[in-house]
Formats: sequence, structure tokens, C-alpha cells
Amino acid sequence: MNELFLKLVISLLLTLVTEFPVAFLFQAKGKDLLLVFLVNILTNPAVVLVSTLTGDRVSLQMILEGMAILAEGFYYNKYSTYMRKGFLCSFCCNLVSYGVGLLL
Amino acid sequence: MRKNYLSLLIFFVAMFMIFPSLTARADAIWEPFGDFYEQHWEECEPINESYLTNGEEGFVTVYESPLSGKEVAKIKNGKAVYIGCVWNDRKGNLWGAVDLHSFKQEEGETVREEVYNGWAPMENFAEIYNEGDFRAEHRNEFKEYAGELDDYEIKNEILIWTYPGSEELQSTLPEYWNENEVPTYEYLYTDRDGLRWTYIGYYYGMKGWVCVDDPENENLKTSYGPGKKEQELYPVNTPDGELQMTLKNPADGSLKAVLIAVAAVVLVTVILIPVIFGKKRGKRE
Repeated sequence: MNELFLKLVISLLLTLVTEFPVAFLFQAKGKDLLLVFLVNILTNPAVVLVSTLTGDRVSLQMILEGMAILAEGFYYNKYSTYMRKGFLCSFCCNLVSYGVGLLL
Repeated sequence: MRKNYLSLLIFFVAMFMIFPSLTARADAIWEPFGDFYEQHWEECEPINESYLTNGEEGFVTVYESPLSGKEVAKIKNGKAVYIGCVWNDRKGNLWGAVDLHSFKQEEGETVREEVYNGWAPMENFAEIYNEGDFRAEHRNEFKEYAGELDDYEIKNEILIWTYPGSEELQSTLPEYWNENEVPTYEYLYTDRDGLRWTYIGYYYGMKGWVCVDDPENENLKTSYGPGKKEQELYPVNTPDGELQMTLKNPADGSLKAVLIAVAAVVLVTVILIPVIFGKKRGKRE
């Protein structure tokens, strides 16, 4: 199977596993969990793909993660039912998932 | 108040996770041949030979692996590089594992930092005339060695060449080993310049050719020079642009499919979220 495709899938799964617990801490429940899932499907593969295509430079990764945080925060604020402080939740979720990714 | 402490806690935990791993990344060692070779080593055939770079563009692009479009080096034509092994892809193309560890890049060439190996199609390399080729070409001219160097006293060091006229040193012998044990020399070959050469098959790990008439001359040059193979050699050109991830994957060709898939997922999700979640948070009907 294509190595890049595998990388995208593994990265997305890892992101979901690490971000759901953080989202829980921000009162995400019910339909909010589906929102967390869809928002990460929206941002994670695109971020990982662009990062890979451009050589996985840390500086660019920071920019891409920043854009993902803004996009996810926007969606959390606009569409979540129980979650508060969408941008802060997005920031913490992405910080933890990025950190775990680096460790692995 | 409790949520603020919680946010701070998450922040610090993430910081402790990120910084140690950044240090670890800086100290990490790139393993020879990387993930691709670890997964495909059984399909690789050892080569262990030096080749000349000979790309049609005037330089050779080296990739992270045959299945990756990620460029790791661009090397001008005419450079000798060591190929450790080869691998056949599904399209029947032969790929060589290029040793970049000891490669000294010139101006215009690029080697990605902390990359010690890469892969390139073998069609981008030309064979180098080697000792085996010399031996096959001149075997009929070899005469029997008759002790011409047995009494030689080393002044500085005996120079051992790859083959007569190669201008490539294999090793040097500053003194005889084991209480003046002279190497076992084989053959006597007289080249077209009239210089006599003899061969060391093995001497404490050393082998190669010694010039009987001038054994210690490090500037030894012949009128005929190093041998050449009959093959088309492309002219040298300076590599263009920086190293990048090419959209055209050399061996696999499915990178475009991944791009399309990701774009489709993004588009569908952007449309789906408003459809599923509809009204803004906090609104009650």
C-alpha cells in the first residue's frame, strides 16, 4: 500500500485518539464528539499531506498547525452544543496530538 | 477557575512532551537504508560497487526511497558513488541504494541534512572501469612474477593501486608486517609505457597493483590513464532548484490519487458539517 496513504491514516487515527480525551475535558459530549471527529477529518489529512510534500519542516508545521487550530476553533464555536471556549479547546487538542506525534 | 487550572495543566503536560522529543529528534541517528530497506531487504540484491552518476539532465536526483517522491540529493554527473544494493519495482525499474554518508558535495549540489542513504534508478548510473575489467582486458599479457620486488627496501611507503594506470590508491604499505614478511606477489605486467606492475592478492587485508619500477611515487601517471567503459556519458549540468517532494512519484504513481482523495474528503466534510449541525450553538427553536 502507498506509504503516504498509510502515514495519513495512522496520523489521523493517532490524532483522534489523543484529541478526544482533551475534548472531553472541555465538556464535549453527544453530538459534539461527532463534530470533533469531522473537524479532524477536515484538517488532519490536509495538514499532514502538505507537511509531507514540503519536506516536514518544523517551521511550516507550526504554521499549518496554527491554521488547523483556527479552523477547528471556528467550527467548535459555531457548531458545538456543550463545548465552551472552542479556540482554547482546539489549541489544547492540537498541542497534545502534535506532542504525542513527535514522541512517537 | 477549575477549567482554567485544567487548561494550564494540559498546556504544561504538552510542553513537557514536546521539548524532550525535540531534543531527542536532534540526537536521533538516521539508520542505514531507512524504513524502506527494513521492509524490503529480502527483495534487495547486494551490489557493493562504485558507479558514475550519469543522469540525462546532467545530474542525478536521489530519492528517499523508490516509493517516495521526496528528493534527498542532487548530484552532478561524473561523480563516483557507492551503490550498496539494488531493488526491482513493480514496473521493472531497477533502483540502487546510494551511499551518501561520505559524499562530498560541490557547489550546486545538494544533499539533505542528516540523510546518509538514498535511492535512484540505476539507468542514471554508468559503470566504472574496475580491476576486473582491467584483468579481463590484459590477462593475456600477464607474465610470471620472478621476484622483482622481493628484496625491495621501503623508503617511505609502497603504494597499492586499484589497477595499472587507475590513478586510484587502494592502500599504502609503510613497512612490511610480521618481521619483514614480504607480500606474495603474482604476475608481472608491462604496460604500454614500459612500466612493470605486479599484483598483491592478499596481504593483511590489502590487495591491488604495485608499480615495480616506481613503487612509492604518489604522483605516478601513465600516458593511457584510467580505463573507460564503452557507454554513453551525458554531459555535466548543475542541478536546478531546491530539493522537494515531486508530485510524480517515481515508482508508485499513486501520489496524485492521494491528493485527490484528501481534497475530496476536505470538500465533503466542509459541506457535511453545516448540514449535520445546522444552527449555531446556543440557539433554541
